[in-house]
This record gives sequence, structure tokens and C-alpha cells, in this order.
Amino acid sequence: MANTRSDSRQGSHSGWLGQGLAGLILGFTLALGVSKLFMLMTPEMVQTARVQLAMWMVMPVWLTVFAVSFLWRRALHAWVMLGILNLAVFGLAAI
Amino acid sequence: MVLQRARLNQWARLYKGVHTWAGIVAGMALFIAFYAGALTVFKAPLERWASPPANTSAWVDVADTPALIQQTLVQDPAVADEFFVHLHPLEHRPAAMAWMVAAEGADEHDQLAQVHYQSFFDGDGELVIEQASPSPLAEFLDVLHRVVGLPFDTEYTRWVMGIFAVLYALALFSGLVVVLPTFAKDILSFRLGKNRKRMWLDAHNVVGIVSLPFHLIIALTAVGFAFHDGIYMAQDKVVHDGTLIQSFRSGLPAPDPSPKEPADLLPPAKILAQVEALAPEFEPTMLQYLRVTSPMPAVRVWGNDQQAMGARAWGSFAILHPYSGEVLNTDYLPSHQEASFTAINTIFSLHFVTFGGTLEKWIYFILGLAGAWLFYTGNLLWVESRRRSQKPRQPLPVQRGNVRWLASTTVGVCLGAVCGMSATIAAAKWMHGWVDNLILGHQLVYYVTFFLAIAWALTVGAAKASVQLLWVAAALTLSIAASSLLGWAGWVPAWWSHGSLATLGVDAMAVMGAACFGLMAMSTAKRVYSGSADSVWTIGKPAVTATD
Repeated sequence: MANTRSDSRQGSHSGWLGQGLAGLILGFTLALGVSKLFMLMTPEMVQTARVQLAMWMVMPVWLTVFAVSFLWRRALHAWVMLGILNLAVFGLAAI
Repeated sequence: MVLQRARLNQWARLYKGVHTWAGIVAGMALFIAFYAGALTVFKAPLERWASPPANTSAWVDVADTPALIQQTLVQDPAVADEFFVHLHPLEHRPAAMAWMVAAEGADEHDQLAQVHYQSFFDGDGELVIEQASPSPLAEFLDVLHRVVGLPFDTEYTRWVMGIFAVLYALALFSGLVVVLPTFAKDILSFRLGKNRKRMWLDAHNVVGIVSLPFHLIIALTAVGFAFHDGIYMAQDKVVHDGTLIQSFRSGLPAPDPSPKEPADLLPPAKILAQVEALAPEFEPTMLQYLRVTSPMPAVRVWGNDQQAMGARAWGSFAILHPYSGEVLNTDYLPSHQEASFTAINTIFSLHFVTFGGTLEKWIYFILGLAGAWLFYTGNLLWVESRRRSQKPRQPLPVQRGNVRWLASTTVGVCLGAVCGMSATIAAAKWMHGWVDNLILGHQLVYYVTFFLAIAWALTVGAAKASVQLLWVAAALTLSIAASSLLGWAGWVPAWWSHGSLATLGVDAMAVMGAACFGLMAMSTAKRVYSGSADSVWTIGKPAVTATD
């Protein structure tokens, strides 16, 4: 019993490839969603600048999510949580 | 507090695996990209250094360029699509008017696939159009930088670069998490001393932390440069609903279908006067004419504003109407742009170091070399962590095969790239006059040197190869300056040496670089021949015979 407890406290990671893949793919779509929110929030900005800034903001969002995604203990958790985040952002943008 | 520390330690362990994996996969490609990138900071001086002296007696002053433009366009109307009017002669730039024609099927970003032309007046005042052959050396080094050592800058090689750039970003983040729990303790006690591995690790961490802002900028922009086409395409579908093209065209005046006569073009001097009135602090360097006989003619006046971030690698620009002189767009002119454009320009400028002056360029040069060093030491630490130490009164252990392999490959790839770049820089002079295809020549010199070094390192092992290749790097780097010296003294008539400070700087750097490589070779030799024998870095006793 003591063993199981210490294992779960140590955070027995189920590898990190699956988590990374979730971060890489869903992090990218999430970044697209965030750039969509940015476009909705900045209607008064010059159009040519707006679309460029929207492109550049993909990088920090995408790569941060990718880097952080390894913290999920199971790949499935990463996919589900990032999936929900994606739905939330795109849902917000659709309203 | 205790829990937080435990959590932090747990994350550090997890990310150590990620850091090692990303670093080993991407490290050597990134070494090449950073070493070439550090050189590319001085792309303009390298281009001038590598180009043979041009006959600048045919230089056409701004006042006389209207006739030059008009006659050139009569002779070759296709030039109207895009051409440049340079404002200042340089040792390698003989003509004021120049343009490029893309080779068949070439990628739009592939500068090496462009054929260069120029036009000027000969002694009798007759128009001459001829193919120009500016040295492709600096552009070749830039390609090595942009696509992590691959020979061509295409859509596919940019994807490869992008994958490495993403791994680089991941290695940065994970590396930061790894050092965080023990950061304060480790940084404050930089351990010089007996434990060599600990010392290298401390140095790796300090350099990584100190240059972290630089690396964050480079990583984010590099991923953007690699994937921007794909991201724009994806955003056009899910964010912009197919309106992206219109967005990019907004801000330009409506097409005017009335016929255009190049003879009616406003003289460049008048265009420059308009810009001068608009932004007196702006120092123009060239005019880029675009589509002058189409319904949407434009001229971009490129130049520098010493007080501001440059918009692109060439500097900043204002867009004017080439016939009326009306100012069409100042979004990329620092003193007349909105905050949103300043933000965009800052992104580019922080990567290309188009801000400040020479000092900032040197800082980027050093940060770039430090970056290359970071990847080299990363591999070194991987090797040293897997080292099998000799136990007291035990035979010398055999080092693991993959450890010896990575040590040899790291030495071969990294020093091979250094040797290859020095060789191909010096070759700009060696090849002059007898090599027709200079691009192919530079590629051959670089890749032959590079792959020979790798093959050699794998053959003789990391220990011997590291010393030998450092000496080769020193010799090849010194040959850059030696070639100039021989050209200046006239001993090799086909070679040359320019007198400008920028090009002499290239020679001076080569001498300093050669000295550094020589010093490194000597201190490495000390370790190789007298270091402890249970290491891939010594040849005290061959590891294979250690089993008896």
C-alpha cells in the first residue's frame, strides 16, 4: 500500500510522447483560436498589421502549450483537457 | 513550501528527459544554424569582402538615373516588374540600376536561384545591360543559417528547419524547468575544480540562463519564419474566412488602369526629396520600383533610421507613387507608423538585429556563438553522464558504443561545419576567375569539407579528431585573411583585398578566430594526451584493449 501511495505521489508518468503530441497538435489549433479572438477584439486596428500580429501570436501560444503539455500524467488527460480548451476558445469566438 | 519544492523537483526530473531528448535530436543542426547565423550578422561586410573589385567609373549619379531607367525599360520592358536604383557606390557594386530574374521554377525565398542584371552607360554614353555576378558567398552562409545546414532554401527544407526550431523552443523551456529548483544554489556557486562534468554543467546553465531572452526571441521568430506560409493558410480558412488576400492589399490605392509611360516617372531625386520632407532623420539607401507599367505602380524607398527598429533585413521603407510622388504608405517607416506596425517591426528587428549600430551586431554575434557553444556542451554533457569510470584496482572499462558514436559525431559535425564555412569563405577568392558556377563551387567546398570531417571523426574517434579538426579549423580560418594578404601584395594577381573598414574587419576577425581555434586545439590536446584514461576524450590507452 505504501508503495502505491509513494508511486502516485512521485507521479508515475505514462511516458511523455502522447502528451507532447497532444500539445503539439491541439496547442496549434488552440493558438489559431486565440488569434481568432484577437481578430474579434481589435476591429479598429489597421487590417494589414492585424493579420500579421494574428500570425505571430500563434508562436508563443502554440509553443507554450506544447512545452507545458508534458506535465499531464496521462496522454488522455492532455487530449481531453486541451480539447475542452479548444472548444471553449472557438465557442467564445463563435458567439 | 516543502510540497512545492517536491513538485518542482518532480517536474525537473520529468523535463530533464524532455530536455535531453530534444537537445540530442536537434543539437547539432542548431549548432550549424547558430554558427552560420553569427556569421550572417555580418552578411553585408562578408558580401563586400567576397566580391572582386568592380569598375565603379560607370557609376550613374542620382541626377542621371531617369535616362538610365527609361532607356533600360525601352530595351527590356519586363524589367518594369521590379528593379532597384542604388544610391551609393560600393567596391562590389558598379552600377546604380540592378534587377533580378528568378530561375525557372525557383522558390520565391531562394535568393541563390536569382540571375542578377545591371545597366549603366559606357564611355560613349551608350546604354549597357549586362549580367552581374555578385559573390553568392554571404547568401550561401545565410541559407545554411536559415535551413540548419541544408543546401537549398525551399518549402520542404524550411519545414525541416521548423521542426528543429520547435524542438529548440522545447529544449529551452525544459532546460529552464530543470535548472529552476537548484538555480540559486548552482548559479551562486560556479564550481571550478576537480569535477569537470559539474563545471561544464554549471557553465552550460549559466550561459543558457544569461542568454535566455535572446534564445526566446530567436526560437519564436525562427518557428514563425519556418511556418508562416502554413499558418497564414490555416488562419485564412478558420480565422479570416478567405479574406486574407484582401487584407494584405488593403492600404494600397485602388488600381488605376490608365496607360503608364516610364518616361513620365518622377525622377528619383524628386522621390527622395519627398521622403526627406516627410522624415528628415531617414537615410535612404536604395529605391525599389515595383510594377511601374501596371495599374498599381509603386516605389519603395529603403533606408535606415538610426533611432528606430528596422522593419526588415534591408532596413525600413516608405511607399510612394512613382509617377506623382504621392506618399502611399508609411506603415514601415519608423517615425510615421502606428504602434501595431512598430510591434511587428520589433519582431523582425530583434531577430535580424536591424536596430542600433555596430555594438548591437557584435553582441548578437557573440550571443550566436554562445548559442552554438550551448548545443556543443549539451552533447558533451550527455556523453559525460554516460561515462564509465574506472574503479580502483579494476581494468579500464569499455565506453558504451553509442557514447563513443555521439562524441565522434558531435566533433565531426560541429567542427566540420566550422571548417567548411571557413573553407568556403576563403574559396570566394580561390575560385575567382576560373570557376563559372560560384554557387556550386561554394556548396562543394563546404559540403566536401563537412563530410570529410565527419568521416574522419568517426574513423579516428572523438579524442584525436577534436584536436586535429581544431587545427584544421584554425588553418582554414587563417587562410581567409591570408588570401586577402596575398591579393593585397599582388602575389596572386587574381585575388584582391579591399581597403574598406568593413572588409578589413572580416580579415581581422579571421585572424582572431584562427587564434581562438589554435588555443582551443592546444588545450584540448593537453586533455587528450594526459587526461584520465576512462574517457572518450583521451587516447591514453585504447579502450578496446582494456578488457585484458
